[in-house]
Amino acid sequence: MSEALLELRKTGIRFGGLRAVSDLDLVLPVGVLHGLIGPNGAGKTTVFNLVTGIYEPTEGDILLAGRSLKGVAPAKVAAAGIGRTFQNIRLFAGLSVIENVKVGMHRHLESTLLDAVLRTPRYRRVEVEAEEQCRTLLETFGLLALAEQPADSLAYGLRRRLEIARALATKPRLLLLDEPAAGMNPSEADDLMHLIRWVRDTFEVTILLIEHHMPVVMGICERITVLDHGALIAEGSPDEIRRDPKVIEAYLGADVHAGPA
Amino acid sequence: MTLLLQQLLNGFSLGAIYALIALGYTMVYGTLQLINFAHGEVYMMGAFAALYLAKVSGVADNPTIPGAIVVMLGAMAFCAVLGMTIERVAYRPLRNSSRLNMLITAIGVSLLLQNLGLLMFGALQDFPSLLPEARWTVSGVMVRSNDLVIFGVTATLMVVLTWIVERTQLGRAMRAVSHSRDAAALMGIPADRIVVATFAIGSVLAGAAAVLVAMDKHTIRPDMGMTFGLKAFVAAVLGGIGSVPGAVAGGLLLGLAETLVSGYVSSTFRDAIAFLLLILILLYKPSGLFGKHVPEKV
Amino acid sequence: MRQGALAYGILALLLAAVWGIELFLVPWTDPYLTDIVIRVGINLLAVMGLALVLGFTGQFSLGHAGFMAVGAYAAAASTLYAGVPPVGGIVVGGLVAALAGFGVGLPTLRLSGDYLAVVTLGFNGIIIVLIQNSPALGGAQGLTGLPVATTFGLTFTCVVLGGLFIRNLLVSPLGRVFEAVRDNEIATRSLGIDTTRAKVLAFVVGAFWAGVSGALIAYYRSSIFPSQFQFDRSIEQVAMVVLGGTGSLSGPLIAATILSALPEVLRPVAQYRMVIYSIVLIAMMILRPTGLLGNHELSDVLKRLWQKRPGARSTAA
Ligand SMILES: Nc1ncnc2c1ncn2[C@@H]1O[C@H](COP(=O)(O)OP(=O)(O)O)[C@@H](O)[C@H]1O
Ligand SMILES: [Mg+2]
Repeated sequence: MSEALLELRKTGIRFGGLRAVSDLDLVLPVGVLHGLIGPNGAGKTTVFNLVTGIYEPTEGDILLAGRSLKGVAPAKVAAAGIGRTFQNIRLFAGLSVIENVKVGMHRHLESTLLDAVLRTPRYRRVEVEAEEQCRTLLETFGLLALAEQPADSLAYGLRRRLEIARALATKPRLLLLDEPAAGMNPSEADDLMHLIRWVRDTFEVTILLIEHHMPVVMGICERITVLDHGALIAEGSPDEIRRDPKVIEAYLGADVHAGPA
Repeated sequence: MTLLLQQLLNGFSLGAIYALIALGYTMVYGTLQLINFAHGEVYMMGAFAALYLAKVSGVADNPTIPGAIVVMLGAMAFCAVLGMTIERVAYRPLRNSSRLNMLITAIGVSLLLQNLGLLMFGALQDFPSLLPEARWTVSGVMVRSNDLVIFGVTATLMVVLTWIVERTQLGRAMRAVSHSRDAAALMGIPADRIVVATFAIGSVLAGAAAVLVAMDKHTIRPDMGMTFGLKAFVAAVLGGIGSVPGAVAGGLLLGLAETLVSGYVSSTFRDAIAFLLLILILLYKPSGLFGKHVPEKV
Repeated sequence: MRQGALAYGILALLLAAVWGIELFLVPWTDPYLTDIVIRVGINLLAVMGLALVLGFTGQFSLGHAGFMAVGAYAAAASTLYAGVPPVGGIVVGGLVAALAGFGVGLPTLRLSGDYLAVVTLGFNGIIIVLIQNSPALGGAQGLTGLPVATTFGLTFTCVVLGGLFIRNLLVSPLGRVFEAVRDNEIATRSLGIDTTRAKVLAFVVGAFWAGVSGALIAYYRSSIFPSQFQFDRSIEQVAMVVLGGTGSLSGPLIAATILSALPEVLRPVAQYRMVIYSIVLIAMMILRPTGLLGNHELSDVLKRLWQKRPGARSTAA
């Protein structure tokens, strides 16, 4: 129980006849940068959806710092300290870049309906603080110059960055990133991976990362879990994973550098 | 006891009609995730088409069983064409826009048909008997020939529909599309054609329901599809939206609830029952009696 | 500091203008014109609430006139049975309508948006049936004998208060959350935000201003009838929001002004009004689904036009 931030115990879910995830055990110690890989349709995104309360596991349990997340609504899971991004980017298209981040920070702003309507001093103080914090965050992600642009005007790679910034604005303990480098060229992907490691060190978050760019995953993750057909087939350090025959077999035929699932 | 039996008979008769209309809502919702608000107006237009047919063909003056069948089939065909036209003209251009936009369009089509009806037909018209009518008293319960016609036609259509959905290529394709439009497209199923077929089948059922109601009530109005259609949609939700047996069960349940409440409590609140039931089911079992809860794919 | 003072300055200025017009202009104006302007104002109040719910939060409410009915009858009853003066009655109307909004919204807003459309539509119908069958509320014959208090000044005081209320709300953190819910509810939840609560809040605020709008109707002609709050009124309001622009406040208000004054101007084609509305609604959804102003405000559009002029000249040179 000591250091585990996230723990999956024999977790599974079925959709009708399909067992999308089965019997999965996973332990993430505080501060780790952990990779989750596997061929398309292996169940990686489903693991994220289970952890974040979008799906409820049909078997097993999920614990955050020892407390069960089973049956907890997505908003409550997020409030408990889990931030995430989505494989199919989900930005707020009608809002500007900085507003997207401000919505991420919303939970930490103490401003009520009456404050807003009556323009109380507290309301203005809170807005100024939020503005500052969000600008700092955007600067980190190289998005400050675009702060006032509509979110849907950003280039694809920048949207992914913005989504990470927005998730970080919730001040999570655990950050789940679903293919953050998908659709980027190798050099962009490489930059992003260094940013992710830097984020982990600076913000002191634990990170679970789904990614298809193998060289970068191997380069920055401390431990890696491999899924295939919803089941864990290997777990270990990047070196162990690289040499594991089961992993090689799972990927045989499938291009390791394949794009988004 | 006699009163109860009478209420049950009336309730089943009303419920059968709700079920026929509810099927159109549930099938379209299954394939497009759209509440087709215009479905009630397709039903209304079916009644006016039947009136026109009955007058032109002379069935209005000389009610016979073959004549009634011709009028009913004519109204069903008219509704099929109308339903397919609505899909093609108003809904297909919006296939990739937001659900809100589709819903507003559906409301627009519903209003358009209703107000066109008002301009063309006036506030209400009499509907002739298509069949010789009779009524019998069986141990105190009044049974009307119209009730028997309603049960007979509904049962026949249900059997045909079940056969189509369960046994034919079209039915399998419809189920595949309602499961996942993208996956069906990957399997080479022409989603657009299936959607059109769904509208046609739902509209045919609404056309039949329209003739049954018109024969029974003897008046038809341009706004007859509005509340009635909405209640049929509630029936579909009660049964579990997207589920064919659910629509039938929901329709019967709603028909029974309405007649029992107006018989034993007060007919004033008859129109409120559907929405009370709707709110209760949304609170306690949003997926409906027969529906399965399917988590949205993220 | 400055921003807040500015907001109150604008409020004072607008209210002074409203009462200036009431005192110095209205007495010399053709009563027919004043009548049209007051009716427009009453519609503006209802439509700004719906713009918040439908345009900004993306929740399809089809029973907004039902909340107007609740507000109108609550205000009327408070005056007739408890002697509450009209200004108090307007507050009562707003609050009772807000309560009704809570009761309707809480069970439905948890679910996918489609159900809201059906439940609100049903609610609109039920409210009318209940009023028609309630002797204490005058039944289908309506309630009469109400004091007449809805002047230009009172109506537009409410419009100014409502407009600033909703505008301030929209540019606040809560306003961002409403739009986030509209754009992507799953993502909003993933940020730890209780989206049901946000939707219910928008819905309650919208119902409140619809209730105020209904209360103004109650005190306008000393009587009210259930038929004034039927479904076609709700649809008309949806059309105003959609045509004006979902995601804009000024757009729907412009649309509401034009569409509420139009029938007076075009009396001869009154019978085609609903046909025209529905065709425009369908055509708009297919051709320009974001409405006249899209998600922009009138001020943005004017600003852009203004900036374009010198710019256009320099590129031409
Ligand atoms: N809501 C759902 N309903 C039905 N099947 C689902 C659902 N979510 C995921 N699946 C299925 O679960 C399997 C794993 O999907 P996913 O987790 O997205 O894989 P990936 O590893 O590529 O992220 C796939 O076969 C997918 O179709
Ligand atoms: Mg995935």
